[in-house]
Amino acid sequence: MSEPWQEPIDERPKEQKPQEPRQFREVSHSIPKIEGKGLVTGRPAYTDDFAPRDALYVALVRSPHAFARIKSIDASKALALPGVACVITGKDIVRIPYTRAGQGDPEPSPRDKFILDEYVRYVGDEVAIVAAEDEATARKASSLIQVSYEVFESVLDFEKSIDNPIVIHPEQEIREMFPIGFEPRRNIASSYEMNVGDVGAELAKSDVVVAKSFLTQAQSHVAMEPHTAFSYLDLHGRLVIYTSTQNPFHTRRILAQALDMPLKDIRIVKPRIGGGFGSKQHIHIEPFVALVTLRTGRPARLALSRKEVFESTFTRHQMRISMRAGANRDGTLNVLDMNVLSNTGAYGEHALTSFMVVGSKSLPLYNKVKAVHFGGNVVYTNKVSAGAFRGYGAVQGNFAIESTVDELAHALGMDPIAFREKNMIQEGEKSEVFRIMGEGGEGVDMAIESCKLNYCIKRGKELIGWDPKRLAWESAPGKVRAKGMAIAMQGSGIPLVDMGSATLTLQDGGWFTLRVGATDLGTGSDTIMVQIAAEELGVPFSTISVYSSDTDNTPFDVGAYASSTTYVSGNAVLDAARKMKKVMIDAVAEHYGCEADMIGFDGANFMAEDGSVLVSLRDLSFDTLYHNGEHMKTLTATGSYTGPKSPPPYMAGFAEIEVDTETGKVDLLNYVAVVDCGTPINPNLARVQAEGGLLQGIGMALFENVQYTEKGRLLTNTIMSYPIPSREDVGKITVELAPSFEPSGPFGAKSIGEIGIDTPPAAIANAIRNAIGVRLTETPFTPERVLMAIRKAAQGQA
Amino acid sequence: MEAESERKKTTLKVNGKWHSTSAPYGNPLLDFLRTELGLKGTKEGCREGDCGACAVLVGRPIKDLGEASGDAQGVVRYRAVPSCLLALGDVDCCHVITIEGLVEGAPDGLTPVMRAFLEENASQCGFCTPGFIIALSSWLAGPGKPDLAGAMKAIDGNLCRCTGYGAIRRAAERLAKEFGGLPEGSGERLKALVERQVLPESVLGFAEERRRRCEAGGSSDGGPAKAYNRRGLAIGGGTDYYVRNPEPEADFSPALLSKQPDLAGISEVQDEGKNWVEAGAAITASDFFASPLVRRAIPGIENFETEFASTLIRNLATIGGNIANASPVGDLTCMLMGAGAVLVLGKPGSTSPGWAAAANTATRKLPIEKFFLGYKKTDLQDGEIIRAIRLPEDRPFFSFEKIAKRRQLDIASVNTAISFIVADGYFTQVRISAGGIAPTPVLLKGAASAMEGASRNRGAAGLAVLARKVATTAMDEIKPISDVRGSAEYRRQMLGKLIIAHFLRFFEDEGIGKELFP
Repeated sequence: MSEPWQEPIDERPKEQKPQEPRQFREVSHSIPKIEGKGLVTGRPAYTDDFAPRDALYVALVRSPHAFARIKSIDASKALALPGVACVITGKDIVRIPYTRAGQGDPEPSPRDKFILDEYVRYVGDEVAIVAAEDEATARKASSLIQVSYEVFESVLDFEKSIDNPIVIHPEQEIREMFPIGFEPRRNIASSYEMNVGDVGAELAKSDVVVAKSFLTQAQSHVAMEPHTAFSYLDLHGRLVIYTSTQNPFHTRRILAQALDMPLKDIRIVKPRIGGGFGSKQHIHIEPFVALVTLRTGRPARLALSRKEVFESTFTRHQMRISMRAGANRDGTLNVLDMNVLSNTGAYGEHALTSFMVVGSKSLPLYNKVKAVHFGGNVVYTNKVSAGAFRGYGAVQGNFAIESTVDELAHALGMDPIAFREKNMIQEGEKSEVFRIMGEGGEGVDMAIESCKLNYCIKRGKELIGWDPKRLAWESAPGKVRAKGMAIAMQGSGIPLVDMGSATLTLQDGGWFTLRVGATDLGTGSDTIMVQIAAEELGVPFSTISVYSSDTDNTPFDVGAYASSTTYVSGNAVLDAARKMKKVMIDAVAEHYGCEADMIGFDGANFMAEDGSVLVSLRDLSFDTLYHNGEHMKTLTATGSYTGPKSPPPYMAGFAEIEVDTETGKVDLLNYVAVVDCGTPINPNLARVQAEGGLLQGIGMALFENVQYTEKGRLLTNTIMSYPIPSREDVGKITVELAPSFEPSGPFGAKSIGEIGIDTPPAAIANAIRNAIGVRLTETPFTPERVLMAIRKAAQGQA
Repeated sequence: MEAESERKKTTLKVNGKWHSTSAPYGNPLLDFLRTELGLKGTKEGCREGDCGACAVLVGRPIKDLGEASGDAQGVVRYRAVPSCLLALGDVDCCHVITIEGLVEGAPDGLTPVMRAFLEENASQCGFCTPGFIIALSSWLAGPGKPDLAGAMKAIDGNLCRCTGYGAIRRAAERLAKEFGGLPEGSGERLKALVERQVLPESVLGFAEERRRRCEAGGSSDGGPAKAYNRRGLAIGGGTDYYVRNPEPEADFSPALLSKQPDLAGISEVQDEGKNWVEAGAAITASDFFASPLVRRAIPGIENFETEFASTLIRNLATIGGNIANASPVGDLTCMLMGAGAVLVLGKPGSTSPGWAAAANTATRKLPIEKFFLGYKKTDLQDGEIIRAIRLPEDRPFFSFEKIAKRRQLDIASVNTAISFIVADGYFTQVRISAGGIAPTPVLLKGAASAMEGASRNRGAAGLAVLARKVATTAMDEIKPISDVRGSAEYRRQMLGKLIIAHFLRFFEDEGIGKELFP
């Protein structure tokens, strides 16, 4: 085997690191997923597969108006329908502002949403909850509820939102938890500014300046499993909710706050999730099933229809990004200036954090600039809320910066790769941006200990056949082929904010349970957590059984978001495994009356210094649970981790496209991505993560686009009207992992979950620029937009 | 609502077991599987037939599938279909195999398709996986020699949002290698698939069990057709109806046209001194495109099969249903209009059980372009259905083009088809259809007449001039509108481009490309 991740690492950092790369037994092997067989045989796995048969079906009445006040709700007809259990309106519940963002405490998003409110702020906003014995009755009842609205004019254009006379959130109770630039009177959910150096002066001094304004669209997640939850009261009268959530602990806390319940009285269980991509970080449906169960005492079930998923869960933030960048003739990039306007829709979930990431995950790529500015506002509109979506902010920022940098290279007459190589961040370096900008607050001052961008670019050039003299050519009459590229970075969790924990327990028979708060949302994290534990303990993979994401039965973890699981939760597992080894050796020492540091463990047996076997792992497990008299105890250890830093993974993405200059259609023929994610804990799973991220980025670049009518009704509310890439839309995609080792990561690992989505919009835009000579600044690059650009260019020349 | 006892029972085999249910026959099979039978492996992802997560295998005797499947009369063919768009009554006397049923009897609890998925880590979140496995099992069931291209086509209606399809492709590559040598004949193929555990043993006894349960003392033709109440609505495959009405009322009782044996054949007829191929309205798109007779009538139409929906949908959608749905931009309708199809309209035939009330079996013929009266409005009279589609056999030149945002499976912004005859060196009987540029699919009469009578043998330059003239005429005669799929001006431009593309397709070998794109 000569896969790249197994090649020896040639460039080692100079100073000695705490962990050295080595031959791994479990880590760095492509072990099939633990749950793989269950999945391919269609075993019950997802929330709705387990819903109790006697659960009430919940249906929601949703607003048909983009902005209105509810004057009255008449539920009498619905309540008269046989089989209807209850109807709940805003008048029936305590009015408590909360945020559905699904973040830690205190939330960096404004608490600007009520479970049910007097106002509705987008088409699809919840008006009332209905529960009935069967689905058809629940739906029928929801259609019988008569709501009278006072309809207001709405704000749909986010570029006209600030200081618009129409104020979307006039209510008094809403608030920010700490200063995030929240000015609801001005329709501003959040704002932020940062500055290093003198941007104006550096632009003035630069030989070449590029100023461009970019517009990125709202994108829908379209996880294949719709949002689903069910709830019931357990024997102790506690509220149990099974839900497809990426973060059970945040969900528990936020639900307790929104329902004004003690945290103790809620248990959240996450069965398998059918895809999340950020969409299931949010609290969308849990309050509704909870309210029905609390009201009726009965189990309640809600699975959103696909239309509801489109209309009432979140999208990616639409953004206007205005860039200015200046460079010298010698190819030195001097200055980056980024002004951003972000559209958070009706509510401010992730308003600030997704906004800051636009800068913090793109500007450090070019860390040698003398001046950098980033700032702007996140505004409300009467549209579907925006929220977390894989690569949030980063993909928008990457599109703007990597398009601008490419344009600068064109202006300088330089190979766009050579220009990047001269200015991009290198291993061992820092960026002021890391220190200044975190996610919702200040950042951390970190040095980059692993960065293989040079390798990623070099290898990507080989794979795509990069020739700066031949970046575009006519392939057939009316067809132009071209290549373009972009580089990207992400993070690995939010430093000093995200925390994960894991508990290992030795069970009778000599095997272990591994309980993790980390949430496998389809990524394979349950499998890689076992790989990490097995590697550190020195035991076979098959001797560890993993259980994840149950607030009563697994230790705390913030959940699966911000590319945190491998790095943060993985480090927690590593910590637990280290402690577990010590706990076991101490137990052996205690029992045999010898020194702990003389005892060795080979994964099966504990040995004395002379190599003689003291006790097998199997016997130890029985001894400590059944035989050791007063020394009997459960051998268990819990580890936790929070990162003092967030080592970025890096990627170089290369697109080869063919543009039909007659129709404007862009065919993506080949996409090459070389990723530095540190040690891939499971190379096959890492590769699939990268491939999947790429295709979502490709969808964003080429056709995915959330669209509304002039009245604010969503047009793209089916998969037919909002197509996501199918098998047929994929040309060749090649993903390689760069040999890399992150000293602070578990066995050298960094994150892989989000980085894949970042490069396609910019790389494809750069290829289109090479093909037709026009810079596309608005995603997606639909045939119509490309054709109009070609025509405009032709008119310009004429 | 009918009383429970009066409701028609649906008899079907699901995996290894027969069921006779009075569950509402007009409701989707998906709900029956998940709610009634508790088979949770079949997933609901969109309820609009677009994601494929709810795919199941449906086995029907080949003899019920029309002319296209003339071999092996007693053999059952298994095809993947989306169960969210399939009326329960449509699988009366059929064999439904879900993901749970595939592994019944497999020694290690895995079929080869599942094993390939497992070993390539082709499941990420896994929600789409059962649908992919069903679709690939359907691909192995044939017809045709299993190769990678076939596998990719088989899963064109299955969406995965996690993997980027790379790992799924790698799994399919494995299978194409492993199963390249499967026998081609339907009967031997089925046996081989059971032997190699691709399909469960429950398929072996099905044909015989069905004869006993469904055909003993059955209807006149010995087929499985069954009377269904009719409330003024007839549905073909259901692929349009259930998208618009995903949760029909419990007493929804449409006429299920796919159960009418006289709507399910493809044959040659003579009329008005011409030879026609007549395809029953309830023929599925898959069978239509596979039919040698259809391929003879519309030369090259098989090349455009994948332009129409996805494999899963084609396995269910009927050609009559596609036309009656009257989408302004329906791809198959556009093709048929370009090809000069004539519709046979009438009451359901007296041979159709349950339709005895329709004593009047008179039919009328209507050129397809006259069928559409306005947006989603057709010339169908009360109680009338499309019974058959006739294709003229004398038009050797045919082409279809469309443009959509996505490569395939997307609703077109604009589509167009063309057919013509070359007689004595002149183009004649030219027909050019277009969709997406008016409230209905239309014939472009101006464009056609711009080509009518022009000399065929005019050289590349002359053909290029003609192409431009036809395109310009077409662009001038339409009044498109703007919507999510494109602006009016873009549609106009695209129609012109697509007409040029027709000419490129026909005359590329003569060098027209160089003339058009100097």
